[in-house]
Amino acid sequence: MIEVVNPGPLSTVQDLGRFGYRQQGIPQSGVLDPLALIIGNRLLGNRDDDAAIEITAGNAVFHFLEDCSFVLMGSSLNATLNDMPVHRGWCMQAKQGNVLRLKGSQYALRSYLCFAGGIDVPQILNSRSTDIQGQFGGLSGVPLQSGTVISLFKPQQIPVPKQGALQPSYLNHIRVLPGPHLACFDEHWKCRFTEKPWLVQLSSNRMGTRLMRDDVEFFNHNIRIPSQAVHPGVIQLPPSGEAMVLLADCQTTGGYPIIGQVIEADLRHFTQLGSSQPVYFEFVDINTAVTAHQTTLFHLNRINIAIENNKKK
Amino acid sequence: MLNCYVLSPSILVFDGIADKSSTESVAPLTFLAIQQHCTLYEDFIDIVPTANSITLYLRDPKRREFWRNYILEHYLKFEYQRADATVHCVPTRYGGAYGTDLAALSTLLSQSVDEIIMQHSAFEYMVSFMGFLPGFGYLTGLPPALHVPRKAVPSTKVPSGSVAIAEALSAIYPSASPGGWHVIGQTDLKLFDPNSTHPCLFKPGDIVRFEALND
Repeated sequence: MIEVVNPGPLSTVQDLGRFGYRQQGIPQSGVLDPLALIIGNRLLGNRDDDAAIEITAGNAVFHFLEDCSFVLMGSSLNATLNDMPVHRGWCMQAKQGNVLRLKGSQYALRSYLCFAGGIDVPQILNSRSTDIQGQFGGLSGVPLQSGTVISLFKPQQIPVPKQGALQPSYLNHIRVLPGPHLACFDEHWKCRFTEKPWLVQLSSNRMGTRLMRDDVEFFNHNIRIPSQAVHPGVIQLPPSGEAMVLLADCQTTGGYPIIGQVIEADLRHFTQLGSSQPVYFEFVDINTAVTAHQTTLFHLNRINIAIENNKKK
Repeated sequence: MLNCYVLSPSILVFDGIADKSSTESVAPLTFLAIQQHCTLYEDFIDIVPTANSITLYLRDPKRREFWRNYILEHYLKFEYQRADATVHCVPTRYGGAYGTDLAALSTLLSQSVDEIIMQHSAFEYMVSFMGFLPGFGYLTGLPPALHVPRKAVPSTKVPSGSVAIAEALSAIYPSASPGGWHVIGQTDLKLFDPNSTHPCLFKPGDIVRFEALND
């Protein structure tokens, strides 16, 4: 069992997300960085879809009420375990009574705290993810509170081997497939869209990263489109011209023009992009998206091989 | 004319936007028919229809070209099976504390409150598609006399169960949420229950009737 001493601004229980319910208006939820969760879970001998805690911005404190192996993925947010630094991507052994603190970092935004065994909360609609808007899933449908106690499943593998893995870097260069409504704008517009960085707004959250630019008037428009399905990675352009990249908690349909779709391999970068950080966009073709996704899979495969080899030692 | 484009390696979108070569648009039921047809196969993680589009989320991007060609070639033969549709009766308390925007709407539409209630509850609606909130259905079939733009200033909190109208649509809020539709009444019907195996009462294609309750 783990006690939440301080959850910081937002800590939620998330797994890989809720699938198969979009047509009923039920969002996907789940971690913003599936790759981080998968690597963390594999290092601990968990299933890929085991639930972890997604911690936002830091200022969070957890108290171990039992001995437990854990790994921090995403950013470490300057974490310490009983005042010793914790590096991301390394399996750690916490003892009963240990305290994990995540101070925060000016360079990163989110951390994933994965435990051996995974978090024991009921599956609601096939997922342990917290739907903050819908108030279901996770721990009673709400973000973690001070004093919340989290139960863990029994680890599949005891002891958890001492091992670590590298995550691909987080970048702010985002590759985008052209969206259906890009055709409403001319070539000059496309150049303007990609020539300068967009800045992340403070109002961004798990539903979407809202973007701003000093020349945002240029992107004002009054194009109306009928509602269509939207999903994480869609770049919407509301009439104000302030582009928005939809993330895991987004609605399932939307009526703003869709100017692009962030490629799957690059969507995880938004996990770490906090207020006023610059984001650069580049339009690419579908082959680039496929190749980038394969690169991600290769990375995971290499980690798998290394973990298997480590078991034989 | 059905148009198809690829949004990502595993996402196909079909819509009925008329292109230069044709002026015919695609009937809304076509998208529900495509949905019914695709549901029979294991190839899709999610299938999301709207009033004039459908988005297919594929398990395996390698199946993309097959489905693109198959649907474009055969969609005219798909028939929407009405047998799948459920008819829902929605007991509604109109006006007063339940329909906080009804009085203002009466002025806006130059119709009496009773006329609005009578019109809204006299017609049959169809769940065109779901979205916005879990269990929120966009209901088509609002009589033209009640068509009205969304509120200029959205409410910060529309109560759960609110029956509302905007533009050519009606809807019921399954949970409390900010919203810009005109609230004309309220129902006790539970539209979304995450702990149920069928979490949402409505599904695309269902028929909805409103029944005015007297307090």
